[in-house]
Amino acid sequence: MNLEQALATKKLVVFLGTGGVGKTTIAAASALHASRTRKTLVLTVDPARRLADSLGVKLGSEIVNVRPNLDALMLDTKAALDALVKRYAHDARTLHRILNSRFYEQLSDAFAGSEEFVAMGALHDLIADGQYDLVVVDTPPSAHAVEFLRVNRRLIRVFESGVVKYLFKPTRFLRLGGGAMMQLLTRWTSNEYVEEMAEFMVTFDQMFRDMETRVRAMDEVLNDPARTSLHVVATAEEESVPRATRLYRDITQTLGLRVDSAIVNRYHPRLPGMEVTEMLDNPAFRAGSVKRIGAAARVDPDAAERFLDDAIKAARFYDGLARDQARYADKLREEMPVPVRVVPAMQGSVHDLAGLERVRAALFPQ
Amino acid sequence: MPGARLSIFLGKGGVGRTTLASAFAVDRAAAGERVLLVSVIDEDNPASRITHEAAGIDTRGRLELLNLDARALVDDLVRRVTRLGALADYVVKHPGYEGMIDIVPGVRELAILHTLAKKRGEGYDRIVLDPPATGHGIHFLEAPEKSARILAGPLRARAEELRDMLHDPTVTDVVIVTLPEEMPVRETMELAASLRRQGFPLDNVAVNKWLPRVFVDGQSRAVLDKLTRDAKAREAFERSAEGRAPIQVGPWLAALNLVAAQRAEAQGYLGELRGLEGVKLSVVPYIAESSRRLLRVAEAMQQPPEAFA
Repeated sequence: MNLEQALATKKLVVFLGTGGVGKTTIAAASALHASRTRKTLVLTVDPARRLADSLGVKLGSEIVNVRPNLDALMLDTKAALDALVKRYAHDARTLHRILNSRFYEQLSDAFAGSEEFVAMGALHDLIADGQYDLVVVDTPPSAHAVEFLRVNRRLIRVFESGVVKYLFKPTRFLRLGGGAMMQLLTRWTSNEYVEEMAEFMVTFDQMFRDMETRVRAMDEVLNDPARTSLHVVATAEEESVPRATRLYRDITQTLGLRVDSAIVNRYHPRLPGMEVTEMLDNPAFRAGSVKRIGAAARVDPDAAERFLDDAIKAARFYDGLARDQARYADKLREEMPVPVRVVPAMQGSVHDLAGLERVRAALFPQ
Repeated sequence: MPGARLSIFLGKGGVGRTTLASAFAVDRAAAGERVLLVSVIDEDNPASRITHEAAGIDTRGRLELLNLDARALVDDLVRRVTRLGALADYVVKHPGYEGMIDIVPGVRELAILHTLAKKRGEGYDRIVLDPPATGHGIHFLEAPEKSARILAGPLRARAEELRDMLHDPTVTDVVIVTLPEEMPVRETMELAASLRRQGFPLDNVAVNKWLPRVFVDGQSRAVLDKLTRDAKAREAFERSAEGRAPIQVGPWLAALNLVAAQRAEAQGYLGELRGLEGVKLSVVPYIAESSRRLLRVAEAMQQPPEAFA
């Protein structure tokens, strides 16, 4: 199953990868490609403002139309969490107290994975609506890039850990025996903090139950290869390779899911043109080149020499880089036995739709 | 506070933070310091124990490597600082324990910093920390303050001591590693501002994978442009290969243009970074893999930026 097939036939195409590999751009370019034939939504989470600007989309929780058949949703998880909390709070006073509590302040740290959690909820709603033929997901780069898929596990751990069970019954905090954990928590923090946590849990009990339902439903979709296709984005660089291969193992071995393809981004392919540089080592050839360049570009021999010095230096640098990358790309192919495609490095970053179209053309050469 | 200096390397995944932290540690050891280089094992991936390139370099025994297991340290912290005694075993094995660690933020970071603080008194001149590849690593620095606000008792006191240690410029220096590219530079500027605001001693910004000084000269660049745009000029150059098979100058020019463009962009980003007041800049060229790589990186880190920029 290659990327084109996935974009043509699945409901959900998910791009995974560590930060800094250009995942958001690849996801957006893929969505652009798919939107030629299918009604598509691209979802990115807490993306760079620049990409948002370049697509003419505002960061927020509303879907924006980018072009015919292509919508974008750039999710600001902090705002989305606030909105969710507001929706479920019982009254204004409780809401105010909770939003100002130290516990809520720490919430995104306390529930590590709450970003993914919120994004997962949003994703569920989008798919359930049935409005789109295809949703393309750019996962948030997090500590473990597979966190997005694994958020369920951590949440379920918190839900089932017994801590929440105790908290749902605040008057039983300090009971001995089974309350040893509560004692520890209270000793570590304070009665006040634990009460803030308890109030939050009790108030949002319903919110948690609803979220839990959606998270479990999403789990089902993600685990269904008929509906979902996963792809890994990486670069052929030293630090990127071990992290990409670890991600691949986490997805395939730990979670038991299939990765359909990999994209190696920002690639510097080896060039046949190195012989030019080698030939310039030959004094006669070099002298002849100086003359011809001087004539063609209408510069004096000094300038031509400087150009050739720069050209040799630049070409040798490029070749060293391309050799390294070829080696790393081979390593990636070894560790990830899936179809691998490369996208060459391009000048400048993506500023606008035209730039994104260039990436699309490189990703899907016809 | 007597004891080792603490050098903390920040920077997002992919910028080469581990390489530069290792090179720095090697360089300090070569200069005669007794150095401890610390990495943190990813607890969800026990196979992530890093084998540093540094381990293969002869530093006359002045460089030690340490991989910390955050989870084991948290358990240790629970046992000692909270003085649970016999209850500790029960707690650590309780199914609710993991959920607890998730709910009280900064516990893992505290445990790691607590260990480093102890190590400072063990005869090292310097401890170099390469934090786990989560975001920039700033949450590492922020953890003690955040935790102190919600903790109580002996844990709180400890958190406050660790916070003070990280803010003390006579003990701690922070290095941000970045790349001469748009997103990394923008994030670095934000990170630097954040560190400043919170009073952390930012010492150095190291720009990694720098490009060679090429096509900086106006005329040289003009020649490149001319050859790129003017087919006749290109053909004239191609014909230079008298008697040989015609050479393909097109792809060669494409590579030159790519490097020239990246170099020009990099120059611009360096200019932006120079705007950071009171911060030393280092420039480290892209150095291809080889057995001497770490030593060459270490040498480059010692040079002023002008050597490459």
